[in-house]
Amino acid sequence: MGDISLPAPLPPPTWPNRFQHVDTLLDHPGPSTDPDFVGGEAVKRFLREDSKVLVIGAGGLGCEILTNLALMGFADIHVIDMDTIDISNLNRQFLFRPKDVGKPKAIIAAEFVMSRVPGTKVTPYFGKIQDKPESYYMQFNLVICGLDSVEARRWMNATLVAMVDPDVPESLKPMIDGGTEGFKGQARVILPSITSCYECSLDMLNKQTVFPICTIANTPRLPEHCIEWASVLEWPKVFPDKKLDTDDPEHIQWLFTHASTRAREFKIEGVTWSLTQGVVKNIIPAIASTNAVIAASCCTEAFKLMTNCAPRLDNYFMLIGTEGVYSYTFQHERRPECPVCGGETIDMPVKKEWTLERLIEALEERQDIQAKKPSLSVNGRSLYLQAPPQLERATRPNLEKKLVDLVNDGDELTVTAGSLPFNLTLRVLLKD
Amino acid sequence: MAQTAEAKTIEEATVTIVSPQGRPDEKTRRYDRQLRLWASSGQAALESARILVISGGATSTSTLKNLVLPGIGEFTILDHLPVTYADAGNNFFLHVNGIGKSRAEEAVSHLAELNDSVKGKADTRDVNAVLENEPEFFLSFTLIIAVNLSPEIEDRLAQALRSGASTPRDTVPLMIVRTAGFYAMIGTQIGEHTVVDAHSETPPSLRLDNAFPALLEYARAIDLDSLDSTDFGHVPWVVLLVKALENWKQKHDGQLPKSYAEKQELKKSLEKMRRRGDEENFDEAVAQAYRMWTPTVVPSETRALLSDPSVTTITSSSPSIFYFLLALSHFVQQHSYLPLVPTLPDMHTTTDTYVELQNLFRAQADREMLVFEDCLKRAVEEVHETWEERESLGLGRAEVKEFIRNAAGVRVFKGKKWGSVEPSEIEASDQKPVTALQNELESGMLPAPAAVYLAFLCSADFYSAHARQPQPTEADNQLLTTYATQRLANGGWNGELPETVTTALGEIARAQGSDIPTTAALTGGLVAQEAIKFLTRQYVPIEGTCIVDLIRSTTGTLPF
Repeated sequence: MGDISLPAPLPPPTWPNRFQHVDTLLDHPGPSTDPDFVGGEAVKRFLREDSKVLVIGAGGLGCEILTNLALMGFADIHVIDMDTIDISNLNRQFLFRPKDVGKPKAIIAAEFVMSRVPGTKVTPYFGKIQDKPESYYMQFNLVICGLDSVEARRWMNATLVAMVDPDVPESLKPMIDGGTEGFKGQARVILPSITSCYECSLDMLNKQTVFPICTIANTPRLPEHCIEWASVLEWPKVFPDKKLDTDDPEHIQWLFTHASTRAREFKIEGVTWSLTQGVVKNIIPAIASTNAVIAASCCTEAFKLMTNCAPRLDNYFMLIGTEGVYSYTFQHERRPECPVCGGETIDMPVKKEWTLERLIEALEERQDIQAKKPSLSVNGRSLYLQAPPQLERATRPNLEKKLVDLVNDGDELTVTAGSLPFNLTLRVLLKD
Repeated sequence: MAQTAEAKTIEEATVTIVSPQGRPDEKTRRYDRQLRLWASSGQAALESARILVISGGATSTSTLKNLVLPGIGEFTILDHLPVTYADAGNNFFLHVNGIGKSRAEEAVSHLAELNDSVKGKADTRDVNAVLENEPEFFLSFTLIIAVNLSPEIEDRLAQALRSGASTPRDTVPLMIVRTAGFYAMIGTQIGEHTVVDAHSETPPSLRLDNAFPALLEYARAIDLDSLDSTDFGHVPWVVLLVKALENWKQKHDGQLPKSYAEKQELKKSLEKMRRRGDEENFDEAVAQAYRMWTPTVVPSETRALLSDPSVTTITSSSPSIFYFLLALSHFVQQHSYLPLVPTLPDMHTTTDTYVELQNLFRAQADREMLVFEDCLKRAVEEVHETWEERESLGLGRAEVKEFIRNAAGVRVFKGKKWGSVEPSEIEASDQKPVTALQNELESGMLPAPAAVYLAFLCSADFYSAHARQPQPTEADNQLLTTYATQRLANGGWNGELPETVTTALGEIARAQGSDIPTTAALTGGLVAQEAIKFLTRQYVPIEGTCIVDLIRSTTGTLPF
């Protein structure tokens, strides 16, 4: 992985009337355009020569976003993606062909867009967003995210919010975020520190179905329970030294076979290959048309933000394509206690009789926090640490202890977790 | 290929024995993410579709991209124009190397690359000439998408499809698309359209307000007091609700609770059945308590559909769905509910109990399916077909089960005409947007599509009169204002043009009929979504005209 150096693009070949369509929006203001907008050459030059934007993700949304940006005249586009191309991408990721399967998405997408839209510069990075320092993100005018991971979005959002320096206006980088699922999707404009941020709306996400271990182990009822049994309990038991790779068809085959056997034992119907794969990979249905709508919405907003030729989306567009063409545009409000962009401490009401373990469970269940396997400390003293193993062992006895014996009412707990791109402060309120 | 059992690895041997469905083939893997939405039945419908797109502009190719990728059967682009410099600038499926060549041919070759299993054809004739000389050409397609044509051609095309259809049911669906700057409009002309699977997110009713006899029997046989605490904690919530409700009914002349207070009282009596207070099965039961007092009914939309003449007066040539609906109307005359769908949600209980309960529901569903089949037999005989022919009529057992599973979501759209109206209807046709505009101004909420819709109409008026797009000049704005005033007056509007209308007119003039890549992509996505719904007969398609307003980042649908 790393920056891939591509041959330097030729001097931008262009041609008369190339931007005849887009120019209609940049030559003249419309009735809703900000009075400060000045149509003409300056705004076009800024867009086509000076602008620099970052696209995160070169998958379903990313392919569309890159294409749109290139056609709209964005000059300098960077794209980050850590994935390689899979055959199941080809029903929507239209910059890839069967011969590209296995190659890095970012690189293939960049090459394709540059060959089809001459003069566009697309710089790919095949790797993780976390590899890049703040100074890297500082070079862009805005960031567009076309991701399928909540964790990556949270990281990007927290990074961009933390970068805001009130004395340096350019430090505020708009983040435009898109997401889809089947016929549904959403696009939003986040102005870090000004509008609601990604973390503010965490509780809007659908709660992921989590099957209790005891159901999986003892009382399976659904085919999903049998599949979870095979992947969560049986695989580590049979292959203690081999990590389950959900992209490996041999592994899926093994899970499918064992889940089927268990299902038959318990007279449960419905274990199929497709369901097995869907459950273990947490597959979300995805189609080209929905990605097109959401990516285009993101890029329309990027274009408006860069040129000021029309007012921006404030701040959330939600599409529900399952019943007619239905969408809803609204202003999502900031959360004063947002751990990323708000200032207020989050209160956590708990019962005195609760054990520390019960508190951790309650914390993991909170939809507005979504901390997986959190570690806790209070006033610099560790209450429970998930890692390293020796500290985990040392703090484990605390799990059984009652909260009333560990903390005082109003104490502020520091919570860290792999899924949290920041340290969270929680005020415990002890109740009877 | 002969192979001894010994020659197989243990894994292979297990697989052959264990799995009825093996690993997916390459096609299934490629389409995996969409098959999870519309399944193989939807995919088959797409693969047999023949789609015509008229003009090879940016919105056209953006739409087609989203249909070629999921694998429609074939597409044709009808366009007599050459690629211009502007086309090479706004269209991803045209290249500057192709300037001067046929736009249809260039676009088809770039689109066909996306999916080897889709056939693409370029037709370089002028749509005008085809309408003139060979109007039957259009009748050979499954769906037609007309993008940024003149209103006159749109009307002639719509007319050709109407007059070419032997029955309204056979009318080739037409989608009319116009784009201008940040605005787009999507209209339709469809004949009768049936949705066979709406993919409703409402789970099927378990009919707990009036448990079927076997379930009631089963619940009665469980004596809660005699259970040890483990078993007590594993009594499924379905059983708890049936028991709680039966107690209630015994004390209330068999009546369901009606008032809020009564419902709370019943809920409390359910809570009182707990032993410890933290039993998980009771938590679930309390959360599902509403099922006890929600009366099982035939949904009003289904009821309305069943009394529709298309259902009550079916003929032997009616599609199978109408036989099913007629049978359903017979069924609901005897029962006040739809046939049971045996989908049991997960619940806290043991495997054995869950499987037992599931079997109860399945057995009941099977009984009701047989009753439904009797009704179906009656329906078949009413149109003088014989029951023995059921398979060839598409009414086999598998289809019956499929219908029952989706029955609550079946919809029949009566269809909608597009286009020019008789002179005597002009006032009526302008009245609809005026009414919509009045509603918008009163509510003051977004989206506000009527003003943009009106701007599209006025832009078309302008084009008809001047054979060019309006420009952002004082003079053209004035003309647009005149057309708008005229249309509003026709529709009964008194007074000044509202600001929303002048704003929309200003934007339309600014746009000069431009096809912006992002607007094209967004519109192409929406059009493709609707096309997929029309073709698969799954999910609920648009009824009316959709307006995309990317100035305000909204979409809105007008009911006409």
